[in-house]
Amino acid sequence: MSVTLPQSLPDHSRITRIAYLPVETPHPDVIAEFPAPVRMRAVRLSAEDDTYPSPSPALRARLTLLSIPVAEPDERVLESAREWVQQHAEPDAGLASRQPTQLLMFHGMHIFWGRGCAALLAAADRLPVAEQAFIEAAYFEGELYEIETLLNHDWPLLEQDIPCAFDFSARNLSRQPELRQRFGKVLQLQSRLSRILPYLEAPHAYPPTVASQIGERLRERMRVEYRIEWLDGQLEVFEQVYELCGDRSSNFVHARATNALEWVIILLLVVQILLMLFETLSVVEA
Amino acid sequence: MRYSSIDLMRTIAICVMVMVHFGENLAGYIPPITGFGAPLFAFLSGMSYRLWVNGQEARQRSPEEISKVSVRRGLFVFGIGIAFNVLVWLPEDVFNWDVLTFIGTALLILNLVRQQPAPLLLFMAFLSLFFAPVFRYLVDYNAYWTNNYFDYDFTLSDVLIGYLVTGYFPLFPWITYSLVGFLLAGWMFPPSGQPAPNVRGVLLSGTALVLLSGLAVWTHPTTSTAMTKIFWLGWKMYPPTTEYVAGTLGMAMVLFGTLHACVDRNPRISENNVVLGIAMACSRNAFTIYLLHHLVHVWPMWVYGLAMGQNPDYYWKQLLPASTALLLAGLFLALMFFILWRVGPDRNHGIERWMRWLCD
Repeated sequence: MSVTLPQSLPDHSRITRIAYLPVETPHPDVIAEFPAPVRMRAVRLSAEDDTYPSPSPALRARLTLLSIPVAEPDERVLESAREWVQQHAEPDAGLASRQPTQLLMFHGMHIFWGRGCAALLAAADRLPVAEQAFIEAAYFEGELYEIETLLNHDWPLLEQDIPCAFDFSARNLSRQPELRQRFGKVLQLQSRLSRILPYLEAPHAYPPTVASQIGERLRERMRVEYRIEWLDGQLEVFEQVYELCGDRSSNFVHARATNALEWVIILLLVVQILLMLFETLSVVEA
Repeated sequence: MRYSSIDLMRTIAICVMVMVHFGENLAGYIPPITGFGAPLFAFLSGMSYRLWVNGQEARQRSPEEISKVSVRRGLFVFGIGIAFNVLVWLPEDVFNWDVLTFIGTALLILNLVRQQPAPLLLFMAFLSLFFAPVFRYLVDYNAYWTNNYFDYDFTLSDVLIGYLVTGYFPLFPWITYSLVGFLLAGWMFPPSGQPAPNVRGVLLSGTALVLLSGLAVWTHPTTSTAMTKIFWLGWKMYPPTTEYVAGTLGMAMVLFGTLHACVDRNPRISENNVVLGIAMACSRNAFTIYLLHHLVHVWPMWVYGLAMGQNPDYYWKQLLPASTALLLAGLFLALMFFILWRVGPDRNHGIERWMRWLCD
């Protein structure tokens, strides 16, 4: 869907499309940089980034921001901004309809927020700070949301794999690569979560600034603290199951190899016994 | 799941056996196809067992349950084999170790090793093939065979040696067929959801075995050395020489590969094909047909001998001319096929039904 500026907005209103790239990926228009352990940067996408074929799949806009420089917005502007967000927000994973648009208001700023897009209304001098803070907060919330979504898709697979955590047999051997892959994915998600935790669980900044308050308010509104707790618990369940699957499968493979060797020895002994038996019988009969 | 290739192979094996047994027992005639039916039967015992295990596992039956049923089935076939020897070949031949006692034993062994890795089973098959000639040499195989028939004393050692090495279908080397069949079915018919491999590997391995066997038979030396006394005996079913086992095993693999490619994987072949329907019915009732064809031609011969005031086996091999014996075999097969066509392929009858009732 093409993103267009709504009509009848104040002058200098603009739309910015943001992508998040690893710090190693060069880009001419970097807006913000998130230091280690995150090591990502937010970049402003231009029309050239959309040319087909796209140079990198990472250059997909993760956030579309409508910035409106207005100190005291009237009802009409606020309604336009809310409608614009409602129209462009992506539906939450697993839901057909869009979630209602969130509104944050403080210090004369208005932030309408939906999945993947937002409208910021603030005085022109505060707008850049608000933009910067929102882009940062949206990145971390987006990461959390993506981890939740990825994990939610995997519950049926987990339930299917639970028997392997208790008992692994030859029949399951062919599933070893996919179990390994799923375990790797869980570890990867845990690593992603732990990298964003320092930001998401950071105590409130003192003295408070507009930028820090935007982040804090958004985190509160999005119930980030609880979501982290739930996600952590869920990841623990996944980790436990796949760790057990890994243990069981490697034990099985090891036992199977040892067992095969024992069988080879037993078979050779049986042959040896038969040879002796036949030799003895033939001597006795002769 | 049933595979038409397996049904067709079992039907071929049954037809070969019927022709050979009628010709040999009634007329003393050894048809050129002699020696090709039993290897197919033994090979198919392994393949069918693997498919049966796959089916049981797909139905979520526990390994313990599968083992119990396998042991019961093995003992059932073994017991029927002993009863068959007594009733058909008369009590003095109770321990001649015919194909049924071998298949019963093969089922017990396959159950024991079914969860072992494929290389180990291959190693077992190789050991059986390699050491069978050594065992035969050690026990002096020829001493147990008089006029081309297995002749043993009722002693524990003779019975045991007959079972393992010198009988009609001893464990060594016949277990090689069952083990290879079991391995091949495991490879070619993977559990559902996994891609089936190309048949080219089976065809190439089978052809290689046939060629090696042919080369060994062709270069069979005339001089008597330790090698020729033990390993290099030419093409013989009694004893089953290494050349014979390798050659017939290769032929079974090539036949399976060809039928699997042309029938099982051929989407143009209709499920309602009459030939495949008869083959399926024949395959499902192969055990019964095997027993029945002996009863219908051996028992009348024994009765006729007694009626003529002779020993029961007086007319063995000399009752009829070869052409009449083969004609009777053809009539028997035609009648069987007609009956099977009438009753349809979907049910087990006769011994198979008893086996399921008793063992499953």
